[in-house]
Amino acid sequence: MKKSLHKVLALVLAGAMLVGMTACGAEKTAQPETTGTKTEETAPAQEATETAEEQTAVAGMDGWTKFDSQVTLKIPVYDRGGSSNGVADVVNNDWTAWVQEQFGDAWNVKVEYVPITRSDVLTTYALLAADQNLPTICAEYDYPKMTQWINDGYLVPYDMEQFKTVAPTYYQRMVDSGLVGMTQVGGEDYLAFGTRAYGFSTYSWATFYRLDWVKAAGYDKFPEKLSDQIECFKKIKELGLCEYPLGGTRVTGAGVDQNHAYRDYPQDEVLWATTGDYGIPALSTEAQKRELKVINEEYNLGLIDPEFYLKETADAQADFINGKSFQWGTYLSSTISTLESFYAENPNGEVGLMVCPGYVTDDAYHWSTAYRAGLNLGAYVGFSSMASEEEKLAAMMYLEWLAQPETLFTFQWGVEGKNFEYVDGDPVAISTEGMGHNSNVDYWMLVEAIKSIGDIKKDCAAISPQNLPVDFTEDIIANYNGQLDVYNKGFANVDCYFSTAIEAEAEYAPVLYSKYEEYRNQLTMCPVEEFDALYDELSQKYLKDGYQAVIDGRKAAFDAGQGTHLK
Amino acid sequence: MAKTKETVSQEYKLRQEELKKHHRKSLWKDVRRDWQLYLLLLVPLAFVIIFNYAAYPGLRIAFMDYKPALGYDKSKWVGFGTFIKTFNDPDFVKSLRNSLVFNLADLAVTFPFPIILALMLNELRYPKFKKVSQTILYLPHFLSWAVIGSVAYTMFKPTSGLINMFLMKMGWIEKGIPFLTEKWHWAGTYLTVGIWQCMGWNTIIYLAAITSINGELYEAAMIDGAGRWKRMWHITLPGIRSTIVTLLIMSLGRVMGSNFERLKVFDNTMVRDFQYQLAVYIYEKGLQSAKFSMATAVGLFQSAVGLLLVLLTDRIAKSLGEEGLM
Amino acid sequence: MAKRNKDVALDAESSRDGNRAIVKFRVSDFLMMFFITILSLTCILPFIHIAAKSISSNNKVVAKLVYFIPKEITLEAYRSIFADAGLTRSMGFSVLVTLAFTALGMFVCICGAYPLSRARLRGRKWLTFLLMVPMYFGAGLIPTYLLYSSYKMLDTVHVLILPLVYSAYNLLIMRTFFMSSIPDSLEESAFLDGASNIQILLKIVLPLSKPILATISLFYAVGRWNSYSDNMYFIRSENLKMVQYKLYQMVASAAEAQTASMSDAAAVTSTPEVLQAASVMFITIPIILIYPFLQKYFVKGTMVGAVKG
Repeated sequence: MKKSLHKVLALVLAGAMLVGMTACGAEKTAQPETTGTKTEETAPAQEATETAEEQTAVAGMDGWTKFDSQVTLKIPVYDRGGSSNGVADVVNNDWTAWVQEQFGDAWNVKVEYVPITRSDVLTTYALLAADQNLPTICAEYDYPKMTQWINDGYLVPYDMEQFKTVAPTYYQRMVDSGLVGMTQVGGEDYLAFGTRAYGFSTYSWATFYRLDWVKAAGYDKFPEKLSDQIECFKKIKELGLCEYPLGGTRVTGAGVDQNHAYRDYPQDEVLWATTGDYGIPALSTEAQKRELKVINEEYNLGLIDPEFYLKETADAQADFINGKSFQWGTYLSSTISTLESFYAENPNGEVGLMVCPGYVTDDAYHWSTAYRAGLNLGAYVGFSSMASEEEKLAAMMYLEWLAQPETLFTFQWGVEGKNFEYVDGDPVAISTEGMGHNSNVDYWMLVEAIKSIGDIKKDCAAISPQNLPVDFTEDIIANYNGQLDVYNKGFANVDCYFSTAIEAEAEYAPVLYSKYEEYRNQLTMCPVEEFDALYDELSQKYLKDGYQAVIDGRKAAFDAGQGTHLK
Repeated sequence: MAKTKETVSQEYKLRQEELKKHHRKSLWKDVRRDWQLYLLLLVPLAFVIIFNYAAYPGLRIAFMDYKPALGYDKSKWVGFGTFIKTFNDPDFVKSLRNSLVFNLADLAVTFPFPIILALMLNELRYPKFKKVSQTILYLPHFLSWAVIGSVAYTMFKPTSGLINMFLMKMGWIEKGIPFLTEKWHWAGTYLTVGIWQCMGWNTIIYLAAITSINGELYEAAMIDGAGRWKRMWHITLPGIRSTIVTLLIMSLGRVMGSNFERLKVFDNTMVRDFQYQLAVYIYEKGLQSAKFSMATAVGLFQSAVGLLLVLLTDRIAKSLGEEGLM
Repeated sequence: MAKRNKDVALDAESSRDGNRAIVKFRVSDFLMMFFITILSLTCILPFIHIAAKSISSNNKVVAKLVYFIPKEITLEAYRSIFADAGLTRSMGFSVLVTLAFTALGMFVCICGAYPLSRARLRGRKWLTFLLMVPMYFGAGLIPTYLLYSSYKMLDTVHVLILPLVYSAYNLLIMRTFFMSSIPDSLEESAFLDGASNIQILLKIVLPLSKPILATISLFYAVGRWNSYSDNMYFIRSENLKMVQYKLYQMVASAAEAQTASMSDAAAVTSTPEVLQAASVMFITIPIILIYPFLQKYFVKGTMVGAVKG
């Protein structure tokens, strides 16, 4: 292969007319221009360490000194396509100008935002890395991406002592959220964390259901126990209210079919560490078997649409609006157009919000209301291996500045009178004009994942959908309290968290997603009596497809003390 | 005057022989005579070298364990390691088989259709009808596969698809036809939608070629009393033959590569057996986990096979007396 | 249909079509027209679907109740498109880029196609090979990115024009056309009159090749208009994004909003489906409109009488 390529190139060179041009062009590709920029950087880098040392005296912003020569700080920001957002150009707008003015000019830093294509984060970073041009900070919501970046040399460890001194506010937030123990990967401090309020719960997610159908089936609200729920669905089907109450969509990717409700508690720690994660579906485990068996039963009862595997989320949404399915789940926000459409199409329809009733079990199905608790963790933040010491220092300063309550507040709420106003001393959003996607979240995600006033009731009210016949605020709060109950009783566990990259995960995850979808559909649609045998057969296949390697990798890491423990 | 196939190829041979004689005598004289042509050629050559060939040294990442942050120079060489690993992967073999079968089938059904359509459009006698229908027929080319996919699902779903609902309502079938959910039906649907998407667009080249056929040929044929089919067969088709051959050879080079977006929108677990083609393989096992070396290696393999096929068919075409590609 | 056919049959005798003689309307004509009508219908239905969605209320569209007939008609989506300065500006930019790209593309293509179409050209085979290889061998995303980066072309308008200007496919098609439809005799007589190669190209070859010139410029223009992946990887600035890429982002962010992972836990704003449909129309219609203008070159014969014998 290579030879023929050389031949072609040789031929080009031989072609008398273009020798000069070719040679020039070819050489350019062969050596990406790294040497030039590197030498430029080394000189100021030494200065930077000196300034850093000077600063150790006073912690926080008061101890900072202005950079002697301007430092360029590159900060990633998601580019989601501008048209529907208030901030069309994510790297150049009023907000970025404000950052430059407030932070950049004060410390002689040029803040440059790097747009990261949201639909293809991995490739965007890979291209920047290949070009030796990574942003000073690399940030993502997914842990596997971070470990892969560490493995691939995108990120470098940082000096924790320096970080504590330069960015004490930011550091304190990590301490308060219980995250400081998790900064290390492979024994070195690689990661810093944005925080997430109420991380253990999933209060910002809600499942809406047809309360009118539930009432028609003889219940006053959605039943708590799984057996009753299935009875309720059967009744709804019998009454002809809906052909396939459970609807269904295709399942694929991370986080599908979480089996926490079907696990044995307290959990076996090794089982939990090796197969209890959010990322890769745990086919071959007992808990997954229980869960899929219920789905299989529901399918064979005719509760699930036989075309479920062709349906996208948009179809599920349409089905709910059209009265072709019982429930529909979404993240909460003050406007939920699906519900508006629902009420427009079904003026007499009644919608309820599923509320976690606290810890409830149902032995018939080996089921409980246990769920997966999250950490108080938002985005993962790391520092680029291509940044100079000075740039890293500027990055830490940026994080600290961003974590200042005043900065965060302005970024999240915008301008008083225009974007928000005070009602009873609390800010209430009134307009998104001039604000970026989801209150500028892509800028402040480095500090915090969800905007929070610090009071759960007010935070629930802030995301409660408006302009609907029903107010769901109380249900949202009740759901939170129900989850809190489960969590406090120890039935909502956080995933095992490894301080090392499990290579098999990166290697096999995409394949396992696609295999899982295939096997899961087979298991859903097979006759009830064939389920057990098929489950065993497909489990074996799944293990061979790579899941065994993943389990082994995690086991090894866990045994080596590189994993967290169940509390 | 009308040139028949024989006279054309005879002339061609004569010219070839003349050329050979020429060659021995006066290379320099020829180059001097045609210096302007070489000058013109410099333009595309410059572009191709600056923007295509100049990037080829980067293909060496197929032989490396390439990590973007390390760059070309610091990444480890692995020789043919990636190729060997890939060729030994049963999933690769499966995707290769599917790619070959489907792309050949695609070629077999997709290629002739625009020719037939172009001949038909050419025979239409109402200019308005002709113009309007041409314009409409080429519309699907402007739809993204995402849109085509969602429309296709709306039409072809087994029970809630519009077509099956209609057929069932009319009582012609009892159970929905699994257009998209049974692999053989799926194969048919996939290919049909492929034809539909590109037929109108691909007729344009043929229509342009037909336009340039000498009108006197038709007049002469008509005086000879040749009917519509005869004219089509003896004048129109031979007139666009070289275009057909060129396009055929070029498209043979693509029998390894499928359009990922097209495969993606027609994906569901019931048809993975057929849907799993090289493009999907590269995406799942290479790009999604940032294995650029692997993706490049498979790409290189695809290209090499494609180019070989092109050279081979070009040879065959020439031995059959066609102009060929080169 | 039946009535229409009668009308057709009546004036069939008198209708003329370019250089074809008058022949009676036959069954085969009917069959062909019928077949083409059906095909055309299948081609236009998806557009009617999108058009109907674009002028319906979002409620009905989200509920997937709009097929071919708009419901609760409103032009709100179009109003907001035209109110969006970013989108209209981007449309203007796309038009300019496409025009420049097409013009340059045609120049490069002709420069390559004409010499290669001349059988007497020394080294023609090797030069053709050299120019053909890139059609099959792509360097891959990363090497390409690094190359453009080394040319300092990233995030400039040049990266949208220059790299794609050379197209082996277009070049070979044009070359085949020159080869098969420009008779050598024509050229030779010009040669005898003392014309140079470039004069022959400009004065004889190009004027005789309008159909292929029209075709290839259409290919260039549509190719540039429809592709967005180079935008995605090589362009960062908002004001250098072409409309097609903006549309892609709109659709992608909507898809992402639906599958938002736990990690990104927050309501994701997405473009309403109605607006997406309206944008598809807004972005597709200008490019579709080119065809009818170029069509006349495919319909009329240009060779008639050009050369005798």
